Amino acid sequence: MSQLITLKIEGREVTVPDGITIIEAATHTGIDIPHLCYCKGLESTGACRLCLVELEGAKELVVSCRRKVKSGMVVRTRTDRVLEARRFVVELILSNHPGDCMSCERNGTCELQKYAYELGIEKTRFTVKDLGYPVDTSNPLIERNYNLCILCGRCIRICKTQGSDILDFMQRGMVTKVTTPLDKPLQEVDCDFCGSCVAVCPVAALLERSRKFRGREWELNKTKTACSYCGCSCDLLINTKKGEIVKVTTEEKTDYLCARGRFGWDYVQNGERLKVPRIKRDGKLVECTWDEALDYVARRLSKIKDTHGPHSLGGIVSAHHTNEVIYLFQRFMRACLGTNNVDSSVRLLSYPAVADFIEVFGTPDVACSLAEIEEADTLFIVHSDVDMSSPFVGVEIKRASKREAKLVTIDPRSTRVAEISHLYLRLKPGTEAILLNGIAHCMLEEGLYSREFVETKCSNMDQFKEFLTKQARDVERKTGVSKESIAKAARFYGESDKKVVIIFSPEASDIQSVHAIINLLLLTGRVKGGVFPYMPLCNLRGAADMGALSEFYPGCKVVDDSTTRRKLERIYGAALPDKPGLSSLEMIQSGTTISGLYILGENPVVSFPNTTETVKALTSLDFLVVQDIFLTETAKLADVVLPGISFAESSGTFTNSEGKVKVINRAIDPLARPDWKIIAELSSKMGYPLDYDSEEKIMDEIKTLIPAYSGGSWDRKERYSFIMADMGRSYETPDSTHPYLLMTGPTKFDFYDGSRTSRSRISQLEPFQGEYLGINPEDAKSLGITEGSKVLVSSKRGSITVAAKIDESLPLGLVFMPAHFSGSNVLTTSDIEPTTRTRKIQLSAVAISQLEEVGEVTNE
Amino acid sequence: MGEICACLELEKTREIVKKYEGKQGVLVHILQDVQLEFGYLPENAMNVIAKELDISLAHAYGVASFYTRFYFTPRGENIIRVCVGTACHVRGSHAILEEFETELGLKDGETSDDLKFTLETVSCVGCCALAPVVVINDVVSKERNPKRIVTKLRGEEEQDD
Ligand code: SF4
Ligand code: SF4
Ligand code: SF4
Ligand code: FES
Ligand code: FES
Repeated sequence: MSQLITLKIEGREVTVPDGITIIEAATHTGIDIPHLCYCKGLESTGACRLCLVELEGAKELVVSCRRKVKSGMVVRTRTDRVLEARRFVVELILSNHPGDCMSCERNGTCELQKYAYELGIEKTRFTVKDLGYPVDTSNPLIERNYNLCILCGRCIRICKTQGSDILDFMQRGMVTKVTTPLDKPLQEVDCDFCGSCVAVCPVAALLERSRKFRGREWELNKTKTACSYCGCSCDLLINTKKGEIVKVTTEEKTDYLCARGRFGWDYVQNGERLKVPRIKRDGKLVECTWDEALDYVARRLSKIKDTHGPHSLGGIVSAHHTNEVIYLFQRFMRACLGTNNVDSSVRLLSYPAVADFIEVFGTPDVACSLAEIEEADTLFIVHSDVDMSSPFVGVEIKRASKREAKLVTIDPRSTRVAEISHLYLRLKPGTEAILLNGIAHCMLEEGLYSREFVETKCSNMDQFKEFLTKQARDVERKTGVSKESIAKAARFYGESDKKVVIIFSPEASDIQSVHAIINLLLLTGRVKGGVFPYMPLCNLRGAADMGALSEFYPGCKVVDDSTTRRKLERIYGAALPDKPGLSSLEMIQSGTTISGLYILGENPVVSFPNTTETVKALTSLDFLVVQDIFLTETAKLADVVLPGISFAESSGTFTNSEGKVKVINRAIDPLARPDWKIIAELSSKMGYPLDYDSEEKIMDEIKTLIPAYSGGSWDRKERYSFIMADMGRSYETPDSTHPYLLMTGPTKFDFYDGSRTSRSRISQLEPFQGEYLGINPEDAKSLGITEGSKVLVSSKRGSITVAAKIDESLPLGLVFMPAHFSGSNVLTTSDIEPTTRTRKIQLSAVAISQLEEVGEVTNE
Repeated sequence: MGEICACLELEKTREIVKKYEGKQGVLVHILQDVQLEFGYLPENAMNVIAKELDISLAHAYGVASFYTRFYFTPRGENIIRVCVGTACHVRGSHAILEEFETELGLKDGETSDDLKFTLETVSCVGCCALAPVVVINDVVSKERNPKRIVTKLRGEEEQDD
């Protein structure tokens, strides 16, 4: 868009956009100007002076990473004067840099080494000083050796934009050091361990510890694939040497990965990985052959089907599997076993959003792209735990805010996003829907909505008005947010000429708040690109698309739709059941009608509410088969355990939060059997052969069923209706015996059910091994609790003992527990909401008491 | 003793920051005032400054550590500086430093637990003619014998008490 100008570099005429720097213009033309402090994608500071060039007509050499191009400029990049200046710079740097290239990890990719070589410097003319800094190996992920640091400042800049902004130049002169406040270890200064600093460091000052002595750069194989943790499913490169993962990197140095993506892969090579199937004999799981295991499973499932009918069988698949695996699983459940009792992590993590999208828009594909978040004028963030749940979304929000986008945050916790927001509505826990409806009501009153859209596209405005008027009564008192703030938020959202995106957590949001969010979209006509539900698991979108929900066939077609059913029956060559099956929560509850359950990758003992009930239901099953890569808490209860494979061994696709289909490529050989093959073989043994010779063949079938997966698009509705429902509270009302509200959720270094992260070094960074109760300092004080006190937390379901962690971001009365901690769900309730058949209650009422008197604090 | 209660630190620092409200380029002034108040820059105070000025803690420390006049640990009531500049070095300042170190049980840059003494080195205070130079509480000392200096300072302390 910007104007083009022409200049001459090294005698070549080049035409480039105006406003860029000389170094960028040179890169455009394929000319590399040596640089150290400059890094594509980061602001330039002009600190190192290596990128000096000669400019015709200028007396002094100019810094090409700072100087903007001008029409008619004549630039020379390799004159004697320039080379001499560069040599001086590099020699000066080398005088502070021990030349231990021999066994240095960066040998061959070190940028300093490269320039020393290119400039023909064999030895620096200056005496080499030993800085004598101790090497920091105090955290499990990043090694910091500042003796090698060349003070380029790249790490400082990238930590500002995508980390926690904890680095800067400290002191000055000879002792200048790039480090943290008071030179503290990273783990003590709230480092995100995103590793961005490691990625941009031009030398070996910052390194992944995992790679030490495990392979030189030129020995590494890089496989492009995508992250299998959160719904962003970021692109990444798995670096392997001789079939072992050494590290994870990105295509561009400045591409973002969070700690989980960059460092959380090591569970893949954990010694606890299951390689051989197991069958329970005399109450003990013992190893057996694949044939034994699969024959046994086939026999037991057939027997149950014959005696109790197909609907006594059920299957639950986790959404961290590929589309291909999930799709095949549902086909097996529906066509081979003959039941719609097939469900997935979608139920507990994102079902209300999926169901609402399909109902209102006719498609699950409603999210804007991650790039659109960065470009938005205003962001509404409902539940701002993005930094924990989907860190890349957090980075996009931060980038938007740097670009002066307005942030409005709605959250009871004053999280990092809340702190940088222009408007922070700190509401009472569990009152999101009321507040959002209050905002909508205010928009109606002030005329801040799109009349045209509502009149031409929405059918039930009058009812909606009535509904809002009722809902808006007492909003201030119920939510604890002032009228003025609500009005402000309404005006932010109502600005019609602005691009506004609502970012929300489908996991933390109750059904009514999802309704309320959708109503806001309709009110302003922002039905395209106006919302971003950040999915807490990589393939939640895909799992819904693939039909891993008991009421939907692939392509999100309801099971009672006979046209789709007939089409599927033709392709599957089997009669399909026509009634919605049970939801995952319904399958695992007391009095369940399920006798035989097949669980693929899901770990309900940890991830489902009310652990005691869950365990009771699982142990009372006739037959439980669990397919997973570890002997999880759930696998331990199984009759048969089938070892599957991890994302690093898989090929296939994920569909991320944006709705983008990401390609997963196998980086290492499978340690056990690919999951799709296990399903296919089992099916064959049960008399329903599933013949595919690769994952692609499964995708081909998916493409015939879901046009959006073969370049087509989703059918969308053109007329909409507001959705209204008053279902009462989504939290247990606290009372005198259980006065606190418990929220569970993700944390920085652990994930979902913890089965993967707990076997990765990243979990070592969690305080109290990830098992704690976060509590507001004043609540703690009134209970006589200090950091680390042992406390007993109990609800009507059960009680557990944990360490207390003082957390200032929590409001009074709200306590927090990491969701991956297997104890947290001992406390939660599994009450089922009848329309969505997922959990009704997001926040459980708990009591807290101090367990033991803390002795005199003696140190200090 | 000598310890300042954390909440007092926070409150005082907030007051100081408030004085500069609405003004630009005030970080160094605030750091100065805070150091004047507490004798050094306590971590709590730095946190408050960073928060109130909406800058990162790292940046606040980056600026503060750029100036050698700012301290990040509590300072003793008596600051003993031994010059180790060239002239003083030649005239034996290292022996003096060592003697101070044994006398006080402190190393260069350290402060005694009772917060009575801080021992430091400087390079050239600009009166090489008097080398070797010892500076006590910003005044060049006539007395150069470490033992006598320390005894004298201890004595004054007692009288004050
Ligand atoms: S890992 Fe990330 S947060 Fe930590 S210092 Fe590096 S860039 Fe900053
Ligand atoms: S640690 Fe690396 S990136 Fe950071 S300043 Fe030093 S050399 Fe540059
Ligand atoms: S932000 Fe999400 S997808 Fe990206 S690296 Fe982190 S966990 Fe993986
Ligand atoms: S690269 Fe331009 S000054 Fe360092
Ligand atoms: S060297 Fe000590 S005063 Fe100059």
